[in-house]
Amino acid sequence: MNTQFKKGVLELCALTLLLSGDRYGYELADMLGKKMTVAEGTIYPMLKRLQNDGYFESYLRESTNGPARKYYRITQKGRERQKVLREQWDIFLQQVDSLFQEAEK
Amino acid sequence: MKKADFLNELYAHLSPLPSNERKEILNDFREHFREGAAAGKSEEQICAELGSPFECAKQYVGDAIVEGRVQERQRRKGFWTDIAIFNLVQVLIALPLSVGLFLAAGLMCVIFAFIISAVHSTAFIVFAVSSTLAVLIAAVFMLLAAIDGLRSAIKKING
Repeated sequence: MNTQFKKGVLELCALTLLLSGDRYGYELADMLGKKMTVAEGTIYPMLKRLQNDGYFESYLRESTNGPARKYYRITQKGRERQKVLREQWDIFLQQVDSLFQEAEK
Repeated sequence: MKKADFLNELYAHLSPLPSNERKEILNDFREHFREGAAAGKSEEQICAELGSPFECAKQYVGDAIVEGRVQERQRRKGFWTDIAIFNLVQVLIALPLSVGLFLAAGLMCVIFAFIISAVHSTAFIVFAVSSTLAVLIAAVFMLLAAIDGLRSAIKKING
């Protein structure tokens, strides 16, 4: 898949995963890496970028076993961003779908 | 690839970033290795899932450049020095040309003044004044080009 395209979709996925609650880096990298077949290492730069853009905040929380984990929390700005991207994604899917239907008639 | 290899390579490729940022990034990856190990994965397996450390670093550095936090020249100093050499060549060509044209304009003034004092022709005066002015304007432009080249070269070398 086109890298730029995948990048945008991954951002939407990360924003969406955080809607239901805060998650730590490994959790996000593991989930996105497995579901989206992407190198897990590239998730971390994306998380940092989303944080720099003000969509995420991070904080440290003690874990039951071992040192503190870095958690990510979605901000209000992030929720708004997720909504916009989600709408764009739905419209895009519809457009592609209608193109397929017409072309494959 | 082992954990240490991955982290070393990542750290090396992050060199354009400030050191506190590099350490923070490395901590994120250390945490990833820790969590992966706790989930029962081997270092090799975790590295394979992470992918290339160069690709990770490329994204961090690329984002920093886009956000204007890192100057591109820090990444490719050689490239900018090459461009500065272009500017110096510009100076080396424009400056002597400018000096030559100024001298030519001065010479023209003297010669034309002699001819005008001998031959009182309005047409010749118009020709003399306009041609001298043209050479003078060219000299000024060359001088400006030389100054511009020098300024750009200094700016690029000093950043």
